[in-house]
Amino acid sequence: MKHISQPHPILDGVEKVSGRLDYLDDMQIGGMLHTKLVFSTVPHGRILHLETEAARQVAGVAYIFHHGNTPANTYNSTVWYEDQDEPEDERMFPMTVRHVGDRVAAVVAETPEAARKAAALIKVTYEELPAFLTCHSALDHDDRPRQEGGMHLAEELRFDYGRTDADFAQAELVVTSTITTPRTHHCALENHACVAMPESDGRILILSPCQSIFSVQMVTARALGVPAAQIRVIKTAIGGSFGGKAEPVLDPLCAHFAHVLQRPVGITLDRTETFTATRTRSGATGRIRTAVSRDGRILARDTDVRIDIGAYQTGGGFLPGAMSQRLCRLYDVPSQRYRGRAVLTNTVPSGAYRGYGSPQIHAISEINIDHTARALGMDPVAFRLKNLIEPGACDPLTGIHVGNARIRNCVEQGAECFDWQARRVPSDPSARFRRGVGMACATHINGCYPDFHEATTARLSLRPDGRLDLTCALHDLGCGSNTVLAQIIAEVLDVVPTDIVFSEVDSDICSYDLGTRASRMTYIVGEAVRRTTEKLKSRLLEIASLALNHAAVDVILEGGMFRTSGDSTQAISLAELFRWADSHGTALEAIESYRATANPGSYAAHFAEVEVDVLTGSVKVLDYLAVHDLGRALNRRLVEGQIQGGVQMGIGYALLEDISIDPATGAMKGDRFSRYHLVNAPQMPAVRTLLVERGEPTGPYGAKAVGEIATIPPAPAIVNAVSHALKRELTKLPITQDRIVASMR
Amino acid sequence: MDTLSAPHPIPVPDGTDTEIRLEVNGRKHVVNVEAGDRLSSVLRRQLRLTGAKEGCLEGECGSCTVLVDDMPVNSCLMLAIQAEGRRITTVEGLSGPDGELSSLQQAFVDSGAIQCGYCTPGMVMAAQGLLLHNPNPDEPEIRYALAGNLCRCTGFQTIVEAVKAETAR
Amino acid sequence: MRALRAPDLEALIALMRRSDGRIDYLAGGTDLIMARQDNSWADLIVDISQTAGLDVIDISGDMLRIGAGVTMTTLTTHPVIRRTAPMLAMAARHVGSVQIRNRATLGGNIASAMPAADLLPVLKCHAARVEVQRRTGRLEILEFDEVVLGRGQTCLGNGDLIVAVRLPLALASGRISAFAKLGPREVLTISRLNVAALADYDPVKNRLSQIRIVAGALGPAPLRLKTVEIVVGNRTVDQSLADDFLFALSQAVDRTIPGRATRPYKRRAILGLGLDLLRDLFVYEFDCTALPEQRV
Ligand SMILES: Cc1cc2nc3c(=O)[nH]c(=O)nc-3n(C[C@H](O)[C@H](O)[C@H](O)COP(=O)(O)OP(=O)(O)OC[C@H]3O[C@@H](n4cnc5c(N)ncnc54)[C@H](O)[C@@H]3O)c2cc1C
Ligand code: FES
Ligand code: FES
Repeated sequence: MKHISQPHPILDGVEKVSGRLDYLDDMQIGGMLHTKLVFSTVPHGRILHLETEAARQVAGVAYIFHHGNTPANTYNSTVWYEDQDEPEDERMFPMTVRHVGDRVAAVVAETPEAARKAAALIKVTYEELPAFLTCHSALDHDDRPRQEGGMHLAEELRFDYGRTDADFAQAELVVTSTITTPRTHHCALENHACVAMPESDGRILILSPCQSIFSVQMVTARALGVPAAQIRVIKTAIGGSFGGKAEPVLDPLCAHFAHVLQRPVGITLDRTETFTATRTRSGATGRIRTAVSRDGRILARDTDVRIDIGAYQTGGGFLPGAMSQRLCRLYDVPSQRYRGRAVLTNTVPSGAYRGYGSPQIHAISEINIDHTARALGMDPVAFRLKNLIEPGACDPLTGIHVGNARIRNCVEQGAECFDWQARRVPSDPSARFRRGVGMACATHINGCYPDFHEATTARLSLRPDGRLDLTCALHDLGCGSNTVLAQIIAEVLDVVPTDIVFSEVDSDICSYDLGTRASRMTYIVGEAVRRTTEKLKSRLLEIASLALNHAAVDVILEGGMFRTSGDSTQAISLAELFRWADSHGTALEAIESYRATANPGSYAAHFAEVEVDVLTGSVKVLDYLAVHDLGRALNRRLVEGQIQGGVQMGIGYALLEDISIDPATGAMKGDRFSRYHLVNAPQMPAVRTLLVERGEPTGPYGAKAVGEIATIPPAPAIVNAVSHALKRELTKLPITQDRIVASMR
Repeated sequence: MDTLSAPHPIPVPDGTDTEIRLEVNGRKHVVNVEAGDRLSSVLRRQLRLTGAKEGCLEGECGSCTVLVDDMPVNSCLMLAIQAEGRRITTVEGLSGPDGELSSLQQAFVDSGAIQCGYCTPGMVMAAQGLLLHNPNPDEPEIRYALAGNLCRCTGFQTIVEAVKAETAR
Repeated sequence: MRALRAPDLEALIALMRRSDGRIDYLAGGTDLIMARQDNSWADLIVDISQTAGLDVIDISGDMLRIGAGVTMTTLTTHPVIRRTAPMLAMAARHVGSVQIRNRATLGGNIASAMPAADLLPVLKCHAARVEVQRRTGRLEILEFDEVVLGRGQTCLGNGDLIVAVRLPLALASGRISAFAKLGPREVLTISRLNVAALADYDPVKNRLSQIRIVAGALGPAPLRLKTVEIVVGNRTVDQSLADDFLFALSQAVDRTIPGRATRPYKRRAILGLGLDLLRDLFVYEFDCTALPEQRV
């Protein structure tokens, strides 16, 4: 293969490293007004009075928006297709605010300074209402489901298969763990921003660093109460997202302001606003019981998870289901019971965040797996190998096949490469610095199949200059997905990846696609692009055979030239073929829609060595090995980049990151980088990667996803390693210095 | 801005704007700023040098890093008026006259040190600052020198490799 | 609001005496710019980051004099500092990131008077004195404790200027020092605890004569741990000294922050810092034989 599996550098690297690439906040948009939002300072309260007079007097203020003068349409910001029906509890500016950071008003002004000055003058009086800041207090107060008029229980999902009760009763050992995961923030380096402007035809154009232009279009249309066709959306360059920009938070407001004022309007949040007024990863507390036989077979498992989804439904209702699915695709568990509850609290809303429930549920289950192994006196690797699924296994709940699932290879090869046996030795209990090793496994999905909307359409056409135009709603979030797609096209047509020209991601140009989510970029969109390219290739060969006046079977495409086999003198280039076709009135393009037919699992096993200072509770990750079953790496360098970045985020999840809601005030304590620490360069170990490339038959060139799963196993692997070092069971994430020290007492 | 000259300083008339002279990437500019304007803001909004980003405005993320007299600083924590009389280099000043990348920038591209790219200009400037003072840093020195630059995408490994590649050159 | 740059100390002093509104001295700006992000600047901003005279480092007799405008980077790299006050260089190296160190100044660290500031325990340990130019025109040489009073509190009235810091230098040889810091991360981290120690030690006799120990982030201002000093002063340096030293450190935490939520953590974490200090002072890894969880 010429291009597949090659470490092609990211296509837009030069623009990025030279500072020339414009992100939204870098653009200069003529006549644009600036917005400053006013946010709730109480966790739950009815707005009694909004004093805006002083703010209105500030020179340069164009308009002040609030609940009294904006559409009261309710919506759910997670919606991404027409007619999608999710509980609608958001509105542009609610009358009753539900969390500190909820939107109260917006000042739109000629300059950012004027907007800021005026916003500071707005006075809000609330009638404070009881606030429920934890799942526990919320369910204590009211545990009726939302559909039955309950206040807090957004979604409940249960399943029970096999003979759970009987298996538990007969088990020789039952190990119970209760694990808590923190609320965390995506911390994409680019803050949230949006620009909207009126178009000459009366529509509103939105420029948004987003994960789905069609989601932006639909959510905005619902919020404004206009047909989706009234809204046009263009995706701009995006400075990281990780799910944080999957839900349009600012877009409906911005579009409305631009519509009312008939001027371009921009909103850029600062870092603290990005923390407190966008989306976060939900927190979860899971009580998990595992029944095993003495020889280490898992007989049954019972999991009860409460998920804190924050103040609004958004996509929180999907979490119990998403988590349940992960519990069924990793180990062969004969009987299993599950209850997952998504709970509304008076805290910042949650939303998509790299892994969508997987980091939480894997932290819960993989830490429990280690507890179980310890109770059995078994090595955690051996215990896992006794219970992991085999390729071709079937999800007992949905009946979906997990595909060429190579988790066993990951664990076996990883253990060998890491020298697990030799390193899994007890640490010296008298030493200050104690070493430990730990590991964890993970699975994740590839796309949304069997959901009906898991499909995409790509169009590829030959340009006059012999290069190729790819038109598709491709939301490259900075991971280099466009580079991989270009490699696929280059492979099929034997051109170079830089010959691919990507269309603007514009709702006026691209066919519908649900956007970058659910690890579907390479596996689904990649396959759609591959098929489209194959289709174009046949078409090109057919036309080339006419142009060359040769039987189609004899024509080959090589190095950008069409030749006839045997005759090296006769050749035409892609550009020449375009001219030939053009003069004959023939179009050279292909459109293909691809609908997913499977949802195989991606798999990973991560191994970590840590050193824990038992006096200060500081943890240093000394060595890290990430083993991934991704079918095939289409671009090893980009794959490694995903894994290394995922591990960094996962180490933060294990050790440092927590938005931490103040139980007294409901305010977020970790609302800026000086109070919410990310892992920085000196804190990161070198991450070794080992790829298991056994091919997934349904994926493009055998590929499966890696971007999300990369961040799933690190937290349990690190926690297990620390627990091993300390001979303690740490169960509350992040395992901060204080928690580690407390565990030593 | 006026510089006091002993013993009789010349006060700037009251008012919002102060005229200052800045030398950025070898070019001299005269700009009107408010006394409290951050350097990052003046570079981005007045000089349209948007390579430096404003990721946090509290000195924690490094996305606003520029060189002042060859030393990396957070341009969000320096007032524009403080930059008068000093040599400022932004990422835009690293590339050659025809836009060709510096060898360090090229190393970033080749090593896969760039994903979303939002941290990249600041990261490159921090690395450039390091190499100006220590052309042969080892890995711990590189990591220490980049501690003030957050990247949420790469895990830093490829960035460290890019800097190493540049030192090996 | 207006801004002026002071080219040298003379002009600066003339200005402070003549003007009457509120003044904001702006040095590195790493604290002040954030504190003023709501645009609450004083009527006059005086940029002192390029003021000649505030950047001096010189030795006269038994005194090291360091200008208030000296940056952290200079403190870490300057040969005179590294030779005569290595602990100060070490503490400066632990401040923020490269970008911060290139701007942040000694004077700013003192004037901000944050409980977690890294230079303050070192200055106090060195029994530093501070040259304060009063707006009224008087130059006062004050003890460290007369300047830094508490969290964000100093003796400085508006318009008063820190000109320099004076550190008495050891005349005899045998002066050793160490600084240790603990934060949630290794680099770019605000101290949850920091400790500075300065001692006179005879390596031939392996005897510690006197020691001064100051902890930061334990109280509103740096705290001298006299009880610990008494326990370890005038002793042979051995494992039993180490044990007593650590125990005394932990007790000092108990006494200082009795009811605080952070006490259980800090009383133990200070043992780690204590061991780091001993290692750096005596270039010897003392055993941690008496881990608290084994004692109790
Ligand atoms: C990201 C980040 C990380 C940091 N990490 C650390 C750390 O690890 N350890 C640490 O100790 N600190 C840290 N700091 C705090 C800060 O950098 C230091 O306190 C620094 O020393 C302040 O110096 P400056 O020159 O920047 O002060 P400025 O911000 O310029 O001034 C601070 C205050 O001091 C006054 N002032 C300054 N100079 C004088 C003078 N000569 N006379 C009278 N008043 C004066 C100013 O008017 C102002 O009130 C950090 C800050 C940031 C933003
Ligand atoms: S924007 Fe300056 S450090 Fe983050
Ligand atoms: S590449 Fe995205 S933040 Fe560094």
